[in-house]
Amino acid sequence: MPDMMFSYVPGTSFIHRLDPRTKIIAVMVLSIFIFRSTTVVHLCGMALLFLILCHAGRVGVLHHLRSLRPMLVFFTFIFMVQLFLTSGAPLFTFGWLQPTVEGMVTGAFVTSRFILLILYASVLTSTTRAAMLTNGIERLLRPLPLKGLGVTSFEIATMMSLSIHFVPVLLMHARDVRNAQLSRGLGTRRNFYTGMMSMVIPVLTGSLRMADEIAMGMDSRCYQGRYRTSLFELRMRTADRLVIGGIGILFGFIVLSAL
Amino acid sequence: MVNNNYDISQNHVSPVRKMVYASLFAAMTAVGAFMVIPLGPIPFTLQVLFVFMAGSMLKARWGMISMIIYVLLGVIGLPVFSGGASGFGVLIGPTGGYLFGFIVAAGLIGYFFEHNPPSHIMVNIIYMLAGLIVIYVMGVVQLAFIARLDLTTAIALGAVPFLPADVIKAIVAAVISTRYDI
Repeated sequence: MPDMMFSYVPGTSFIHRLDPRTKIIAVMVLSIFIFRSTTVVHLCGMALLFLILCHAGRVGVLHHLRSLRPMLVFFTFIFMVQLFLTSGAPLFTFGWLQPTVEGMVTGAFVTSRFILLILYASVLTSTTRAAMLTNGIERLLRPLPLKGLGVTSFEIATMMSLSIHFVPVLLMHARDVRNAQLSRGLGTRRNFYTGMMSMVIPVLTGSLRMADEIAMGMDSRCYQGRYRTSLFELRMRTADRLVIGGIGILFGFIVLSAL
Repeated sequence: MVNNNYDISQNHVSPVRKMVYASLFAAMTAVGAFMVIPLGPIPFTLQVLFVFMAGSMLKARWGMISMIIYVLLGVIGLPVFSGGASGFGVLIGPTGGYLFGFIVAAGLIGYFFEHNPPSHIMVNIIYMLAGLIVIYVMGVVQLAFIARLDLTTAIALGAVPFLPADVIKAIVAAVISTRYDI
C-alpha cells in the first residue's frame, strides 16, 4: 500500500512548478467544462489537452491510466446499462438483449466524460505534493465563512495532515490485532457480524487511546488554530497569472453558453 | 497513559481533542474503504460503518467536519474513496453523491444523538438507518442525474445490491455506539 498511497511523481516541469491553487482552480473549471461539453469535438479537444498536459508534466500516460482502475467495473456497468436500456434503432439482436445505436452513443459519451474527469484529477495529484495541495486547499478555504462550522481553514489543514498520518498507523494497528487473534487460534471469521465486531472494537479502542495521547501532546505544546504561519508560503508567479487568465476566459465561455 | 485533566471535568472537552478525534474518524473511513469483505460479486467496504460511528460518537458538528476531511483527503489525491479511487473527478462523477451523503448523514445522526439521545438500542438502529437512507437518496439522485439513468435503474444499480450489508453495518454501529462513549 505505501507505494500506491501517493500518486505524486517528483519532477521540475512547468506544471510541477505551478502554484497548487492555480492547479486546483484549473482542474475544477476544466471538470465543469467536461460536464457541460455536448459535442464530440469538445471531448476530443479535452483529450488532446490531456495528452499535452501529460507531456508538459513529464508524467507518462500509463501512470494516469492506472488511476482509472478502481472505477473500471463501475464505468463498464454504466456503459452496459446505457447500451441495452436506451430505446432506439437496434444494433443487433442477441436473444432478448437488444443493444441500440443511440444507447452506444450515449454510453460512450457518458463514460468518456467520467474517464476524462478522473484523468484530469490524476494530472493534478501526480504533479503536486499532498502537503502542497493541503496548503493550497487551506489558502482557498481561508476566505470562506467557516465560522458557522466552528473551525478555521488552518484547523482543517491540520486535521487533513493528521488523518494522512493516521492511515498507516491504523493499518498497522489492524494488522497487529488480526495477528494477535490468529496466534491465539481465532481463525478467520465466517460470520459477517462477529467478524466485524472482533475487528472493529479492538482497533477502535486502541486508536482512541492513541488519539487521546496525540491531543494531549498538541495541547501541551499550546496548539492553536486561529492563525498559523508556514515555512513555505505559496506565491503566485507570472505563469500562474497567465494560466488563471486562460482558465478565467474558459469559465466566461461556460457561463455565456449556459445563459 | 491516561490524560487526567480531561477526566476531572467531563464537561470541558478541548477543541484540540475533538479535532484529533475527527481526523481519526476520517482516517478510519479511509481505511474502511480498503477493508473489503468479499461476499459475492459486489465488494463490501466498511466506510459506512465509520460514517455512522463518526455521527454518533462525535455528534453533529464534528461528525460532519470529519467527513468533510475525509472527502478532502480524496480530493487531494489519496486513494481513500471506495476501491482506492481518488480525485476531484470522483466527487462530481456518478458515485460522488454517496460522498456528499456521508457528510450529511454524519451530521444528521449526530443531530439526533445530540437532541434525542437514544434510550433503547432500537431507537439507535433507527437513527443509523435514517442516515443510511440519506446516503442512498443523495447517491442515487446524483447517479441518476450524472449517468443519465432513470430512477429505477439507478436504484437497482446504486442501492439495492448494498442494502443487506449496509443494514448489518448500521446494526453493528448501533451496538458499538451504545457501548462506547467519547
